[in-house]
Amino acid sequence: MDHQSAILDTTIGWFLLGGLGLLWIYLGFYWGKKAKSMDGYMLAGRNVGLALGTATAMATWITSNTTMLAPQFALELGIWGMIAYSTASFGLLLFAPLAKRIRALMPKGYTSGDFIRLRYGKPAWIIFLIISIFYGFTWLISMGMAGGILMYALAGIPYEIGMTAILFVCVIYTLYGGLYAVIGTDYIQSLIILIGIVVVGVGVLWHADFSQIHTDLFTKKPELVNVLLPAAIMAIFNNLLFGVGEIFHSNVWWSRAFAMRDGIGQKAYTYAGYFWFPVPIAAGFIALASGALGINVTSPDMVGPLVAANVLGKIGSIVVFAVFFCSLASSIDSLLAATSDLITEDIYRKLINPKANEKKLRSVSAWIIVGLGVLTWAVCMPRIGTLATVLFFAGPMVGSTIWPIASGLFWKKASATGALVAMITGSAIGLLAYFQLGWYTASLIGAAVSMLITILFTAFSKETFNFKQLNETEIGE
Amino acid sequence: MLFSELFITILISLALLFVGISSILLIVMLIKDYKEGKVW
Repeated sequence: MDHQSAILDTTIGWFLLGGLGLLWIYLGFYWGKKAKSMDGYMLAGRNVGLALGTATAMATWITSNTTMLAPQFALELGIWGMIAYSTASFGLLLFAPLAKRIRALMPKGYTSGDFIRLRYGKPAWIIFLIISIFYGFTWLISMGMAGGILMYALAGIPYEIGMTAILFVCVIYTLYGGLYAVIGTDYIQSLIILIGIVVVGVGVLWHADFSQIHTDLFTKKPELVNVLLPAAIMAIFNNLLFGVGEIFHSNVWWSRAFAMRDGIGQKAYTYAGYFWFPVPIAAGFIALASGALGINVTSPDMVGPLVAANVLGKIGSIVVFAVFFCSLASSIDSLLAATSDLITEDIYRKLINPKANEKKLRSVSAWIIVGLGVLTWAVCMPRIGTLATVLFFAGPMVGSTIWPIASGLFWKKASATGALVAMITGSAIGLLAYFQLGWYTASLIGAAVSMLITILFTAFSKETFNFKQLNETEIGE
Repeated sequence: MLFSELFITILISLALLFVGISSILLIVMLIKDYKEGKVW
């Protein structure tokens, strides 16, 4: 992607980057004052209401991939490509009843790792931590790289500087404000993203109506309006399962379930799912208008910004820049906080220093956030494009955790050995499918193998789990 | 109007409408939480 593709003047780009960055840092410091205890810092006081809960779940799930890849999906896979992307919202919807159950069974829990350790024991816990930390870190790297690439593509800001600035801003406000800052900024970021998408969408329709868009597609690319495009239908299933796996296992979503006040989790995740569903369609359709508007698309992943800048000029470019910045920040801050919680609680507190007090844990957590930021920065710096694709390896791995988690929360007979075998075998066979059959089968096969193993082990299991064991404070007291 | 044109028109119009409504609902929800003292 060369400098000529920049849609925004570099000076304006710097101004926006600096302005938004300073705003998030100020809010991080402001909300950080509330984080006086470890529960406050890690879980925003476990009292988050419906509005902030809904917004944080939705904003975190709107990554730069959603706003950048949804138009590319539309351009390459047509209308079903956009709908395929929208199915990722099912992850939020299906997690809603789990969020309620998690809060009820583990009122004092901290991480998804806590659940696996208490429910299935140490061997499954270690495998789960490897999958979860690998996934969190690769997602962080892909967001860091996307940040640098986007800053360069949108405003001509050099990759190294753009990537460093975004990571620096997110690390600083997450470091000082903890989950309070993450959730508070997520709310503002979600509003900017939603309003930005509507502004660009209406602007595009102002210049090209539905009839023009359809006529152009029907004559030049009829396959894109074919309601039965096979590749798109395969993409629906893979995207759906990858999304469900990502949300079910990741501490990003568990920490929010612990953070929301009693009785809010299920509602917030349900609303977030419904609010998220139309986003890839509203953000993606503008790619379909590129032909009718006579825009020559040389780089498919830049089709969204290109169309927006073309129809709305400078205002469109500024809106797109703000939307991308918010999409990136809302995901990076959540990943920093949730991965740091997982390492602090599951590795430091449970394995290294069980007697650590709150002050010590808070300091360790802060150092881990800084360490994660620096490590991500160091890996992103050389800009090795193939690294971003490593995230897709995580698809079958997270897919293999869906059944052990869901069955573990609801079935007394779900066994520890079954969970362990399901996660290892599901990941291995899913990865094999990734290389032998294609990326679009990996999550599907990983999840299916894990499902069969979980059901088989449960059917023959003689274990009966007492769910009260998940309430760790009762055990310790 | 062809079926596919009608489908695209309805799909995109609804998507944009719902995204707009979502942003308004988020603001309304925050005001309600604030009045009830349940923001955090």
